Amino acid sequence: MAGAVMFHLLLTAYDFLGVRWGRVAVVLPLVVLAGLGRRTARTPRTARTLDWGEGAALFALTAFAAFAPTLWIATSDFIFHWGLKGERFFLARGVDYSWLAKGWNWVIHPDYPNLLPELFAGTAILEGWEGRFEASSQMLWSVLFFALILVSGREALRQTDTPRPFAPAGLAIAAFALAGFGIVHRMAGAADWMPALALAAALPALLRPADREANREANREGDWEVGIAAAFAAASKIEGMPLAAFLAGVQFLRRREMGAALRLGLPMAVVAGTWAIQTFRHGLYQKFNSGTFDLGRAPEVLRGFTEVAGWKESWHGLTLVLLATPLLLLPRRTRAAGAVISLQLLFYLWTYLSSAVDTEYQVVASFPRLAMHLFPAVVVAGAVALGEREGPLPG
Amino acid sequence: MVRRLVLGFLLVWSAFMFLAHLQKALADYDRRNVFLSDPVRWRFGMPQIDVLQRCFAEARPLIPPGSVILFTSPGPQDAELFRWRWAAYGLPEYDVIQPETPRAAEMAEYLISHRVPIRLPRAKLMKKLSGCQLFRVQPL
Repeated sequence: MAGAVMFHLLLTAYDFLGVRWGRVAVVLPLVVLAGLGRRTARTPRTARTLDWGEGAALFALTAFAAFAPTLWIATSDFIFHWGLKGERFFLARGVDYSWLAKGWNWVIHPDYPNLLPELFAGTAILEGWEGRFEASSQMLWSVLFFALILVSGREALRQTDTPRPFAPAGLAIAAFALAGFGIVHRMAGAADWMPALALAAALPALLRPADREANREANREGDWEVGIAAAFAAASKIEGMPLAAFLAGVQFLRRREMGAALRLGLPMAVVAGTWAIQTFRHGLYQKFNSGTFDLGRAPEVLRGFTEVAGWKESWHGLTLVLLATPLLLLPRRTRAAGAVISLQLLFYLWTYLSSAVDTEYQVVASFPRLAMHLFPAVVVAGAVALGEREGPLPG
Repeated sequence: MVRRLVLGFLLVWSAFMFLAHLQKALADYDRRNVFLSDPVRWRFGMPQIDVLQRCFAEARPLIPPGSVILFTSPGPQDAELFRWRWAAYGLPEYDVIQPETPRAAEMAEYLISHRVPIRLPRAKLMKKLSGCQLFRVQPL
């Protein structure tokens, strides 16, 4: 994730400087940065077999991974939005702001952050002898993000010493639900994996005690983990911007140190700041992103939520699990994660109550994808909360 | 015990959801050659996408990159919009607009007519392609 954020900032710097993206320009600085980077402490390896939760997660991931490159489950947003941008940026060898600013391109959300199209363009630059844009290769980003969500969830469960059967069950539920939704709702090539990954990757740090007495080095590591996850969220989708603020804000309230503020806020501020400069400089911001807040829209929002929660819908009713989010605020261990997830849920509710277009349609069309941002984190944090009293208490 | 039951229930629920969706996706995949007229439901690998891609592949050598292409595919409003977006994806090196775009008539340099042949006084037929027609639009 840190590499993706660095990649995004590198390409953004190139755009500011007018440098065209090429193989050397893209790869060389990343190799140098990776070489200069500090290695994080490795988790001690112990020879062991997969537990049943990891096995189930691997099976679900494999099913999604087998489908994704066929393009059969490619999201329509890949055609209408992300993939089109990626190929255009690949051809232009940079973010094509003049093209994004053209009046008819309001349909492709020209004001959205560009990390995913940049990853697509970067992949295309490196593909083949002269570079080429292959949609099926780009689908593998979704497979990677899915895998990293599961790895992050597994790490959160491991670090919290969540006992069996809660840890394997939590991982398996997250994997089955994400894979099922990803396949039927056609989520290959979508950006929604990225906010989900940002939240999942921040979970180990959010679930770790963060008081001053705790290990200083672990606290600093946790700040970086959350700070980078926040920057990644901010670079991925416009909904990732508030998620980034909630991640960094909640972790800062736990840490309350100037150094922590820098580690948490700086990566996100650079990403959001450069996005804001380019968006407003090129006049890309779309007015239809928000309307006037009106509680009178609540019945329409509720109708939309009810429809999405239906048994025959893509989540098979599993979105109801999100109703348990406030319960995550009760155990001390999951309070920070619960706060971030609750704030993001409230933000989604606020956007629907401020919807500038047909509210019920907007809920039905978008909430299944937005629920995906939160679902794995709710399940993993929920498994931690459920298993806490049966396992060792947090130190 | 209740905690274990809650998690067990969710596990069964999610596993069922996953298997049901996997089965549905496989069944849909087996029927991918069925022609669907509604472009909202189009996916890669469907016959109508192949038709569009053949049209674009034949048009590409005849149109300089960066040109403004007016893509017309008359039909219900949503269907027209979605076909236009598929065309924009298939022709990323061009500025693809639709008839509803403000000042479309002024900007258009080329016109691709998909499905329904059209006649415009300023559009001169360049070539009939697979599933579409390519026109050169005379400047106003």
